[in-house]
Amino acid sequence: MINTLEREDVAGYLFLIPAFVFIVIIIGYPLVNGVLLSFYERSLIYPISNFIGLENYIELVKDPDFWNILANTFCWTLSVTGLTLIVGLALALVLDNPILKGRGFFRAAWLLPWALPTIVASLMWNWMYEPTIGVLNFILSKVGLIKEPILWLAVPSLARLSVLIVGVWKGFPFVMISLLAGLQSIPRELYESASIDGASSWASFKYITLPSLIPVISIVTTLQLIWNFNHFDIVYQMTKGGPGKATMLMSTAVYNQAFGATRLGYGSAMATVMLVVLCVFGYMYFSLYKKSWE
Amino acid sequence: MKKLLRVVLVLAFTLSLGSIGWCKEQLRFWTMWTGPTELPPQQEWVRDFNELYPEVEIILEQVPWGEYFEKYVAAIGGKNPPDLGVLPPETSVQFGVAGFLEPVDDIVEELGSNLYPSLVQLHTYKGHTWAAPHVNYAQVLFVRKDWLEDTGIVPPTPDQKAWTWDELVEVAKKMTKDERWGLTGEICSLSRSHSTEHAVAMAITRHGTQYRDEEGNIIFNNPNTIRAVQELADLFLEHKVIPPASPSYVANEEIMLFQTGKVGMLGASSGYYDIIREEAPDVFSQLLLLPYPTGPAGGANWISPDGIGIFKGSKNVAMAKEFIKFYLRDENIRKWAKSTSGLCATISGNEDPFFEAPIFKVQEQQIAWGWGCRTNGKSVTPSDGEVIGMLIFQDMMQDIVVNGIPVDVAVKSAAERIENLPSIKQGL
Repeated sequence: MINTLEREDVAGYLFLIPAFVFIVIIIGYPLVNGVLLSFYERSLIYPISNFIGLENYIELVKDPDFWNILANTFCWTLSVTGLTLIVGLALALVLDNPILKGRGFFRAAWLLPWALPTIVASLMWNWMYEPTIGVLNFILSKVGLIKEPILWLAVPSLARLSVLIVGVWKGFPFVMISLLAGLQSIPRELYESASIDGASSWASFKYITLPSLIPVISIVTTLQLIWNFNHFDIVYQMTKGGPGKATMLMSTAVYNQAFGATRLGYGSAMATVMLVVLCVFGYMYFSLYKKSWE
Repeated sequence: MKKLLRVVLVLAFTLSLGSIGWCKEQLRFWTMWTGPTELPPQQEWVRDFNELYPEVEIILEQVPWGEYFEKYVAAIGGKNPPDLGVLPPETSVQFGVAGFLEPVDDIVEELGSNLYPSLVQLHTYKGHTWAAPHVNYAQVLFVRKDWLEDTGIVPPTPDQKAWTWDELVEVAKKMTKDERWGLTGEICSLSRSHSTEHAVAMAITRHGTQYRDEEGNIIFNNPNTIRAVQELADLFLEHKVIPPASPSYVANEEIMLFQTGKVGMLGASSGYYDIIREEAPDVFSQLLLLPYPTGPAGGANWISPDGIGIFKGSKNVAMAKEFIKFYLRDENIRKWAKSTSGLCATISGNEDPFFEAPIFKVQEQQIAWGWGCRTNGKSVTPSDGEVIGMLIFQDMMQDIVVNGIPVDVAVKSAAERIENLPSIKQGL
């Protein structure tokens, strides 16, 4: 019996080899190379390749811009993740309600932001936010809510809020659909029993819905944390990290350093810091996944 | 069996047809001229060239101006640059010196004196020409005649040549009212794009300074630069004559505001002339074309003699050169210049009554007055490419207008960044 199992194990591992080799080539090599690059002064244009040890990291630590960008990135990640979770959960509950008519329509409509290519969505929002000819200020002034145009993307605090809104708008459908799947797997009998026992809607939500959704919420939240920390496209398209560096995220800063300033080593040092944070999120994800599987 | 044979034959035929396509060498050509009036003539040449030389196929690939530098750098870094590409002079020289381009000295020699020597000079560094200039655009001040009449200010007379900067600001102030603004565009850009680099380069030239002197020493942090940068920042902070969202612009918002009647004056490339005609005929009917304003040291204009370069490792350098020569034929280059309101880089190309129109005259005047700001006709250097590519001036302007950093502090910080550029450190 033991011999048979061992043989099966060996066969299993052998089947894994092609995938393992593939992953090493397309993920492992660039990853190791990226970390190694962070110890070099290297330009994409000039033939400079000097080993400088930890100098890039020392420069990073001393650079006040880096700390601002890191803080921006954490703010963005936590805000977008938190808000997409709240909006996604609220809409999933609405969609799960049997008395809602036209559920198919709403499900499709609310999925649209997710289905729309990010570049299209970013350009669309950019024009909507345009203070002079944008539709948002036009509507707000027509209904008498504003007298002066709001500079959505030109004032640092407003620019942060504006890109955050787009991030939530683009990200909530994934959370909504995942949580809806979780909601639909909760046995209806539990709600019926609770109702017979006189439980209120809030009590049903607190003691049945929420605990049943915890595994899905944990995994979805961790995935969102990873994706949002890595986020690039919306912010790059809408503000390029501006005005000033108000909306600059780690990923956009890495891109600017590596391909704008052609400082490959410094950009890699920033990317390595991102990698460390992402490893923590990754560890969280796998721990939660394992827990929910068990 | 017959069915199987038929399938095999069809497959073999299809594959053989496909293999003819595979044998064709494909040369990728990157262009940043992607506007509605810019793309059709290029598509036409590419089609004509491909018909003329069936052994190769030029593939036209569009790259946005706002990201061209990063795209080129990423492609070079990934060892997958295009075969041919449109290159501004500072980029052609930078890439040429770094060893990424094939020199085009033979094309320049073959065309001889028909190419304007001053344009060739801008793409030449250390004995080689790195791109063949094909067009030449000067920037133009597009003014709404009706708005100008309302201000009661008259346009500059021929003996004046152009408004002074102060006069321009005066006009802009009078035009600014009721959510309408006086000025926008590359002349005063604060956007997160290369336009801001050009605005600062023009401003410092108007004040008689550059970021480096004849010997290559960095002299950016000087009183004239501070005055020039203050002048630009004041448009936003003090005079409030440019749209308040200007620091957030990343694309063509400036031209869109002019086209939708929200701004009275647009300082931008002459290429916008045709776009305004196509997209905003009402505004077009009110257009007055003027040269750029002058400063204490004279006029300045971001003149763009873009060239076409051939990247090292091109699959067929000889055919790539053929394509450039084809591109520079009078009939082709004229088609391009006519549809985009630019001037041809060849003397014979401009010998056509069409180029007597005001949009060309106002460009020719500024070029004739020597209003360039790329070192006034001398060779550009790799560090010019780096300053532009790294958006150093743009960061400086954003620090001033968005983060409230004093002008002298921001200028000093920008000067330090320039001093640390790899090309400056290497003495290129």
